Amino acid sequence: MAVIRPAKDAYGVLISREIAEKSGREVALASVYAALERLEKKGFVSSRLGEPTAERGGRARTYFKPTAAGVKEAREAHETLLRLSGGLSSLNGEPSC
Amino acid sequence: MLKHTPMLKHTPPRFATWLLGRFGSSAHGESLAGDLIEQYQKERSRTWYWKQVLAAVLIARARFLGSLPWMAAGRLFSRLLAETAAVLTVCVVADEMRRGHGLAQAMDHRFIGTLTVLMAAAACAFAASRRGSNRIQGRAAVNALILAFGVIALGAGTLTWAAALRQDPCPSSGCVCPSE
Repeated sequence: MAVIRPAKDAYGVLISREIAEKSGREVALASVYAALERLEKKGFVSSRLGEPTAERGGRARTYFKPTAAGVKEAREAHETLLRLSGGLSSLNGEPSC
Repeated sequence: MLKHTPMLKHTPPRFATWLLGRFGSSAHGESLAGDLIEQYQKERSRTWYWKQVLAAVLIARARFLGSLPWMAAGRLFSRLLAETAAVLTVCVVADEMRRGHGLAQAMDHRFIGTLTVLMAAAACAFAASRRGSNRIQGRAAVNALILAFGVIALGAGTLTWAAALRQDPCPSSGCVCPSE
């Protein structure tokens, strides 16, 4: 979902910042890339290499974007989460009994 | 990794960058390195950089080990065993030299037996670690010869060692024999 959220050109730093802002927890960039590689293998995201820049020590960015299958999978996961959490009174701050 | 790194405003820790390139490789390793450098240029500390590099190395190693089939893990273990036996052999010889015994003096049954056992263990483990390896496929005869040598030497060494221990129950100088 952090890949879908940025308007365009999501890359490692942006995605990890997105996760940190929304979850309040900083994640290692390497773990973001590890997750992206798994998603890429499953065909849920695609990547393209940008141009190398001096401020990155001559290294290029890799931009990620979700594929149609990835968006579908994310939508289904989101709906499942909503269904699972629906009606759980303890999550709404109400007493459970 | 690029051989030439353009001039940066803040150079990140070189050793950490080397570690990342050497042990933290992944499909997007270059981009990860670039992201870390980019962040380091902007706002991040050396500690942050080191933490990220160590996390990258740990993740890469864990993924590498996880991707190994059990045969490969077995080969890795055999290689480790072979190297340990080889190092122990050197240690035994070095220890004997350190005690001031010349090699000629040290050449008793026990010493030769220990060396033979260790060398045979190293040879066997090395042969096992090479079995199934792509590099020596088609060299089954050589493999079998190494293995046979290892097995024979291991057997001979063990027998020699056992015989030496039976003949000399108090081999060390500090031992007090009941008959003395």
